[in-house]
Amino acid sequence: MELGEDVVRHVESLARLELTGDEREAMRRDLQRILDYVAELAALDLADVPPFAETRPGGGVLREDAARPSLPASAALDGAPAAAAGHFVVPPAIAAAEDGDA
Amino acid sequence: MLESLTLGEALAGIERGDFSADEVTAALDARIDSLDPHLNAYVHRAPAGAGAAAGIAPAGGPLCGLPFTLKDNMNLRGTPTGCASRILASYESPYDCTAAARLLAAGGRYLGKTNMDEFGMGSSNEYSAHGPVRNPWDLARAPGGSSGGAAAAVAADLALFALGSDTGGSIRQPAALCGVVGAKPTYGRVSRYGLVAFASSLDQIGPLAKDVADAARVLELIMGPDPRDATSLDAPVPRLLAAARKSARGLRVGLPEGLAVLGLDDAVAAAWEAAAAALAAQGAERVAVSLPRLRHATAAYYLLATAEASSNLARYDGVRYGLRAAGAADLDALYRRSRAEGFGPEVRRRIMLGTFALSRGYYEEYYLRAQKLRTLLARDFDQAWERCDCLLLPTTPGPAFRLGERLDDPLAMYLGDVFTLPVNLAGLPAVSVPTAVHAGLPLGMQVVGRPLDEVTVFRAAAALERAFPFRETRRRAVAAALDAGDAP
Amino acid sequence: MSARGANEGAAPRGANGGPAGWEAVIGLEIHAQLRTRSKAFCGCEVRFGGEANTRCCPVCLGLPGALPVLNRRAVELALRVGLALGCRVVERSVMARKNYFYPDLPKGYQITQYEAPLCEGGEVPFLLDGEERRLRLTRIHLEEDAGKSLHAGGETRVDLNRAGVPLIEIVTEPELASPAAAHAFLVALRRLLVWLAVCDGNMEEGSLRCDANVSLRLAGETGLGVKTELKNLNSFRGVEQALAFEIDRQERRLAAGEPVAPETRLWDAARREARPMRGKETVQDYRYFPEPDLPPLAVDAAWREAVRAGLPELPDARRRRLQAEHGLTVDEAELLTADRDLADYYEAAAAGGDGALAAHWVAGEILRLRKETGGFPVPPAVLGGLLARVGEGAVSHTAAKAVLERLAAEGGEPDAWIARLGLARLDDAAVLAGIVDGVLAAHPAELARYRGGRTKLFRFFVGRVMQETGGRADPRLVDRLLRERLDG
Ligand SMILES: [Mg+2]
Ligand SMILES: [Zn+2]
Repeated sequence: MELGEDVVRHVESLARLELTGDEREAMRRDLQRILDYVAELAALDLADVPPFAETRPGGGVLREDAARPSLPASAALDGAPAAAAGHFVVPPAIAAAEDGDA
Repeated sequence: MLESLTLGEALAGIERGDFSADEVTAALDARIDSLDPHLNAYVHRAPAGAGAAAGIAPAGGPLCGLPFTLKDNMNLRGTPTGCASRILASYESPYDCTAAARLLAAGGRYLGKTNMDEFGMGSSNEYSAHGPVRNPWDLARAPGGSSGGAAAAVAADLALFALGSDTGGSIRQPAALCGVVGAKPTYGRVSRYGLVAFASSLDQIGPLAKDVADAARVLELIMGPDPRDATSLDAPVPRLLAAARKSARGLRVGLPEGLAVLGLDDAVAAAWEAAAAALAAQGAERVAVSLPRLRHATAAYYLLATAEASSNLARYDGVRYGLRAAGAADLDALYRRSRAEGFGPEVRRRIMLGTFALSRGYYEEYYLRAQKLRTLLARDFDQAWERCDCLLLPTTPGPAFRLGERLDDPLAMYLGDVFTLPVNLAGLPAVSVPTAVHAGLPLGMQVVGRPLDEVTVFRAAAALERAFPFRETRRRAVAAALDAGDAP
Repeated sequence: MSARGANEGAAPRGANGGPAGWEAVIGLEIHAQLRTRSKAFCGCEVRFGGEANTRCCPVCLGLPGALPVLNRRAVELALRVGLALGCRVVERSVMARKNYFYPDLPKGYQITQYEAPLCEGGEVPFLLDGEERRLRLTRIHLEEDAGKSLHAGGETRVDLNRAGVPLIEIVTEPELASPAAAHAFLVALRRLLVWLAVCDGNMEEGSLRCDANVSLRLAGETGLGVKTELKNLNSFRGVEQALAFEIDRQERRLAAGEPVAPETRLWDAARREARPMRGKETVQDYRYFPEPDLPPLAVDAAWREAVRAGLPELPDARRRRLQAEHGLTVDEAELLTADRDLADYYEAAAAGGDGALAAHWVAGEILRLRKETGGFPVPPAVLGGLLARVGEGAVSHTAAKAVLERLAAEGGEPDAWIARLGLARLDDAAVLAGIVDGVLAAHPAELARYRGGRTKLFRFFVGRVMQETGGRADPRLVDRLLRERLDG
């Protein structure tokens, strides 16, 4: 496929990266070369093949529902770039508060 | 010369009372002090005099207080875990990685953390926030990656043995390019708990060591199920040291056809043939096998590994730990600037590729096709196991390349992993053993086994080592290179 | 009953019940917090409130290298719901990552299920205006909760105590036709979740949350119109009001020939309106893919059937049984099966006695006292004993209420209190005849007027006798004695 700058910008936004104009063009060229290479997969007939993730072995490992000590409160916040009153602190989102989806 | 001992020799010497583990550690410390400035293999070191004397590590246990190194992507309380990335520059973990905890419990002593490609993404150890590691055979060349610091340290006697991690060859390739032994066990053999993830379905921890027996000793200590890793396998730990002492007689060794198409140096092809002949001379049987999807493995690997990485690295967002860009007025700017400043170019490239492969409209064509190819590749290996007990193939298509040579050509860098990454895609155990020297640089051969059959892999690897004793070759070459470079 | 069963018929009328030709199509997504001791993927305690960020560990903080291991109990609780609602349980369901950046999502992805959820299909029975309905489910899947973000003072503060708490997400088919039906469905679903001890059902603490989507179409059409999603619905009443608001809004737009935008709207309970969420209008791209840290979740037939065997009689079946066994009306039986403790209490109190009488008392006095004190006022056997006396006519209803108050306050046995309070029914004809004669003698004027044709005064005399006896007189005996004297 031909990788346009618009797609690179979109992916950059999904990945929360920020490239300068030059970096973006260099990135576009690198990704284009890699996509040209992986295009060999497109030629294969894979219609009836299950994805590996669904066929991998294992599946029985679960934990018992027992509460264990958490980290000391300070340890959770120790490495935080900004914290206040026991909370992590970040600047507000410009967009209205989205509460995720959970 | 305590620093040049193998783990096996050091253990024997301590048992005989010839010297102590502290003396071995002191010798290594002195050598690191003098030589690491030329190699840049270490990014963190335990305070001098730490260890048994300071009560940090218990003497005794199978490791008798002897030192080990961790790759910079393994957590250990009280040490930085930086993954050679700016984004984790000052990060210290509040918990221990299971593999490291097992070495400590076995009486091992933490010596330091080794340099790597940022988050394990690279095959030359040039993509490091700490600068490149140099190959101790030729300081102008790359040691390979991403466990380049570990391989260089072991090769130059700056470590007794090292833990590395292998996602697409990151233990075996630098081991081959530095002339040491590197082992990647079956996926799920060693707990990944506490290993900073690059690509979760591919990552495995394993040893880099001076010989096959040492690798077997270390692997035995760190293998086994871990309730903290749902992908760790509930299988008994095999006796690898015993396996390494067994003959290769009767082993059916598979030799994949058509590797030349994948870009094999003549010297590597010759070394491969020599290795196969050497195994045959010890009573093994040569069997031709076909792995038709091997040639598509690189394409599938780089889509799957980057897809997982793009998600695994989302947590580095400047919110809870790690680097936060200054002055961001809103959340989106905080995310984007922190990540742009914190990640190096190769990590950014892979996050972009992986995000693309998972994104709406491209998922089926890229990520899903790669998943399906992975299934077919695993089936290719399954079919090979009907005809042979293990596979022999080169670890790399060529010897160590010059620093900077592939830096501007990511694709060329990726293609160098063509023989190692299929093994990760199929989750198989493999050991790389140095068997030849070409133009003053080491070449490695790889033995690949059935899932959970590390025993056969170590049997064959030990047979290769017997056929190609390498220790003196390495010692002389490294000594010469370090003399030639302005080393003391 | 068919899927249309959840609708209230196809007669053309306004979506909110008015005369126009639009009908509403409503689907719900319910997130229910599972009643486990520990979080979904780590050992941190699950509890409401408390100091921020004190129930966090490397796993739920998303620290580098930490790995999730799924809580068996969370799977079991999800299975209970799925089996109770007749879902198909998927033998190998797949955990997936849903990738998005938000400060309360520590890993940058939520572990959830996407393509192969744990449960598919199934349906929820509920009552709407006393009629049995069913709403089909699309799926039930397991996932983890995010933390809490508090937006205030130009910054956002994040508490991750809730991050990683196990949830099930229940997704219905879009087959509800009115806000009232949505409300009735939610009441029934909440009752079931609490009944199964799967969720505490507490909406104030966020243990149960609901999002809704709604579109309109012309009555008789089968296609779906453009839907909007409603979020921030903090109570069942809020769901009903927000749906009514949104249906009305859509109806007016469509009637005016304006299109409905596919968007997410936030319900503002104070202002009673749903406003579009500001910000990106682009569709979210969550880049779902199978979670490589967790192998597929295997639920074999043995596990599934063991969970099924542990299910209690379900509220719907129990309601029908109570109706059949005790001759209760739908409404009575529904009220008495509002929760399991109440149904158990009722059945124990009614055992061997008059079921209708017990229903009257439990639904009245007992529920009133339970609401006041939070518990049942007397053991069900004690109530049963008291009601037996009422049934025999040994004590009047009024007197029995007084006895119940004393039993509730001070304990003891009904007969003892009846005796102590002197509340036993006065049914000795000789004693009562004396009292009747006394009343007639004391009211000669009324007696004369009665005899003169004012027969309505009969009730006056009954009242006087009851007053004289403190309500204990057997009413039928009083009636007979008075008639003998007045009409005989
Ligand atoms: Mg959800
Ligand atoms: Zn936790």
